[in-house]
Amino acid sequence: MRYFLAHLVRLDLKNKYRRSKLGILWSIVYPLGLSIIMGIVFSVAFNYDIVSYMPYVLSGILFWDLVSASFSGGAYSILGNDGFIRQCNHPLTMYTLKSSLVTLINFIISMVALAIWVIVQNPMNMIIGLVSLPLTLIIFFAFVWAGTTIAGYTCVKYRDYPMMIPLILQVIWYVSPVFFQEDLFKSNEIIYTWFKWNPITHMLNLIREPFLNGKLPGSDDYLISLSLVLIVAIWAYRINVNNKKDLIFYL
Amino acid sequence: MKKLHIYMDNVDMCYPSNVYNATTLKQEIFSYLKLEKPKPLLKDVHALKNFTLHVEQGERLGVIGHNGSGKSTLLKTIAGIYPIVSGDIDVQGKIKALFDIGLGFDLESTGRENIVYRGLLLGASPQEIEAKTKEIIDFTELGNFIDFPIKSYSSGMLVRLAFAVSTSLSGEILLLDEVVAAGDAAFMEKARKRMLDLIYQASIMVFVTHDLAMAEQVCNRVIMLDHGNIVADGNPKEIIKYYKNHMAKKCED
Repeated sequence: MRYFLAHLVRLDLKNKYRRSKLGILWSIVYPLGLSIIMGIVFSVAFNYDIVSYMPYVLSGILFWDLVSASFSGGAYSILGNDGFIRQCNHPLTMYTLKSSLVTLINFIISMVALAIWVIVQNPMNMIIGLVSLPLTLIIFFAFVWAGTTIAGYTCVKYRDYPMMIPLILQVIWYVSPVFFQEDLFKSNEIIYTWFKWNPITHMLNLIREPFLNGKLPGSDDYLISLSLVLIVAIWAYRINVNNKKDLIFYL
Repeated sequence: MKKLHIYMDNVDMCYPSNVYNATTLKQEIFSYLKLEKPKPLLKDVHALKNFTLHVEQGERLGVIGHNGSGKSTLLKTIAGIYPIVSGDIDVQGKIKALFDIGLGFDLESTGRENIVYRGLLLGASPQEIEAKTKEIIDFTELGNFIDFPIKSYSSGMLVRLAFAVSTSLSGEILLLDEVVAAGDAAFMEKARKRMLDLIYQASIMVFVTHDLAMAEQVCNRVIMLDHGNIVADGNPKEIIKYYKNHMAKKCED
């Protein structure tokens, strides 16, 4: 089963870029290109400093890809493997694990794009960035697997899910500092309080503090991020326990 | 060595009907306003009823019965794919199940790659598959096509590949659901021989089929199912005769 899982992950990565010339390089080129475009747009529209904004928006893009790949893309993590599920008695969590591993590997490859900005601007930040990265990856992975599991199971029973979740994610995106900077949230006391307690802010800080600011993430960043991960993990665990048996009938 | 067996005691298995009773918001509102008739509710399908079956090592069990009598459900329940509502299932031994063998191939990958994937799915290690690859390719007679993506294959070629890989690995407990190899007459004969080899390698076999001649040839015990119950159990010749009589009587009615 271990071999089969490894093979599925490899196959997914391979199929994503099959017949493309750049292949896996797209995982780096695409976010890099997007950050340049956003950098130009926001520096013109909001007078953001383009040099510091490009890595800022890139870290936002990378993290948001994780969120949407798990909660939205993960919707088909079980449905898409019905061919296997119907003939083999593997635990269903194997298929959500597969999607999560693919998402995380893509994230790690895309981090190279961020590393390029950091090396160009503040090469010293790379050291503290790499020191903090393993723990951050573990936290992100738990988040992704839980999110993918919730999405995968929910989508099998309620096919409204893939239509509904992008809307919810869009709302969260607007109220989180994915592309927007802190200043934008200071206009109003309530909004700023929300900004400070928003777990997405702190998840983002896990990358931004070390790579962009050259310091370790604060204990509040870890604490709030871990609380969020714990909540979705418990939710995912419960969904799995309650549904793993009869899900086969819905496929 | 541990003795292999399949023990099922008082097993009940149901297909829940709520899967098919789902209504849309529009239907709910309209039926509430009496603008349309409420959707008639389907009942749960009780596919196996208080089912008791003991299969011991060395038995090659044939399962026969009408369509919808519970044969395939029985196999998938033994394989652990379908959950049971009540009762006990105890399976001692490594299961190898051959049903829906055509499902789960990756169309973009080559035949050779798919041999590896399928082997891994069936629980073999990369080394075991490597050792068998040549034999599998020879059996399929696909020649150079083995290195083409399988989306370029005809359905016959695909069946050959699926059959060759699926039958290359033996298991302690073999579960078969009407595996029919397509292809020309010569390939059919070859496939039949390979199937028999596989069957005789297994310690326990459960074989669901409508091919009564084949059942009589390879099985040493046959059960006949009807509406999720065993209605006859014993010597293949007798049970098949009983089944044929039963069918004939049904035709007369």
